Amino acid sequence: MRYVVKQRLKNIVIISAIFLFLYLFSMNVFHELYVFEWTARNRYLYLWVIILSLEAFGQNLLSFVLTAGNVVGVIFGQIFGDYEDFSRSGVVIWIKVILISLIVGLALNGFQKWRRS
Amino acid sequence: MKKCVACALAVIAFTISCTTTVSATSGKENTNDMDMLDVVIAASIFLNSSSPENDIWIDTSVVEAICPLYNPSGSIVAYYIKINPFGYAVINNNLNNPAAIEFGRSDNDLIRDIISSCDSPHIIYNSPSEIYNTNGSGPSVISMGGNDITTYFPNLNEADYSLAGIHSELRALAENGVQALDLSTGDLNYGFLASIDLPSGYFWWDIIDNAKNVDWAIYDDYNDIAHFHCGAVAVTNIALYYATRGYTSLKVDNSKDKTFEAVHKFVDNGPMPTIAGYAVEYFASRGYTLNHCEVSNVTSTFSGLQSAIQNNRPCAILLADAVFNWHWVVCVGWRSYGGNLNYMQIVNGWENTVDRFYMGNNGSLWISTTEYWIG
Repeated sequence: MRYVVKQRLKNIVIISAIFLFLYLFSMNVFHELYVFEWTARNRYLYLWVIILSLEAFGQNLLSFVLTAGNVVGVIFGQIFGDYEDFSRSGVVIWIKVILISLIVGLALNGFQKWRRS
Repeated sequence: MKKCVACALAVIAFTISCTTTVSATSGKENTNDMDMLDVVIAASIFLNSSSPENDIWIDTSVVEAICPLYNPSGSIVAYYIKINPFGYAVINNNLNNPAAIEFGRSDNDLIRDIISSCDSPHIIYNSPSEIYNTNGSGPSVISMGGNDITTYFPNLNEADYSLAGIHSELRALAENGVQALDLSTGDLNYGFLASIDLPSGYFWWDIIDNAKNVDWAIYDDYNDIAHFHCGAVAVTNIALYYATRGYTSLKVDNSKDKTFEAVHKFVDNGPMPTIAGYAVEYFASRGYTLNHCEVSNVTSTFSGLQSAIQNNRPCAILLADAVFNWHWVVCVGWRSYGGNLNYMQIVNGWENTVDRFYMGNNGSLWISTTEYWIG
């Protein structure tokens, strides 16, 4: 039991550090890049709250997949985003990557449970 | 309005799959005469209602029959239209006054009896209760002498330009059926119209003082320094407006572009679901206290917006054309043709003009409205 709590706390610290690092990096180094700046300024739409809550409830695989999705989404959004049509903008790409991550995370969770059973 | 257009388009199905023995005269005998599409549109105006208990033309309604009604001298004075599953109307055959002489949830029993008993009736309609058939042995053969419908209702010959204006706009929308449906959402035009596209006829209007004298900021002028910055453009335009009203410090170095740059430091790149807080911060940085208040965005209650305009308060309006297409505009006036034909006069942020109009929830969703004033 103590090991589980310790592991979850460790994961929470790792995920928080990833978000904090991305935030500081975006606001201080890449602050002129639209997707980096917008997502950081809008606090990643508080996705980190959801992810940390999931981790607190033991959904560590889903939490890490979503955290990775956030980082990948920001980078993909910045690279492939359009500046004319908002429906193809970097922010929308970021949101779509996170949604895909959610699906992948849920699928992996289901697969993991199926294997254990 | 979309429902009215849909009703009008239903006439196409009616003409193809007519299941009744009654036929209607197609084509126009003179410029004020109606055709079938006009009859459907006119009926839909009266049978539609925003309150469910009075709404006769429901979503599943279809046109069952349209029948011309004559005066004793053989001219078509009105049209009877029957709606399935319920409802009917008798429409004055005058495009300058396409009024419903009678309408209701049930039916006109006299007309219904004639139609059900005669394959090709020639119905004389002198009043809602003086109706007879001159072509066969219908059950309701009543003659009261030489009167016709205008004897009882002389106003039917007079023009009602307000009603005619609504009718002509719906007719135009119906004739451009596909374009009318394009007015829904997702087409990036947000349903903005120029004054030339608005209905003709009488209207009421108001516009905030000095609106036509403002050199408005335009979105495309700042693409190189900002992205998805319609919120910043809207706040800039509110600042530019108040600058022309004597709050000159709001216009940085008397320059529109420098004003945008200054505003953009507060209202950053979009999407921006709210801008009021940033607008307050910008005005405060220039030495003014900006107040703001939410205005009702229910289409039927236009009074909140009218009150704001009357008090010379521009309103920021957030519209959504699709899930990921949102846009901020500034409302500077309104125009009303009566009924639910109310248009906001806007600065759309794309063009330096106040000659643009938007009807609430027509072409895009009307998300929110906030009025702004300095005090």
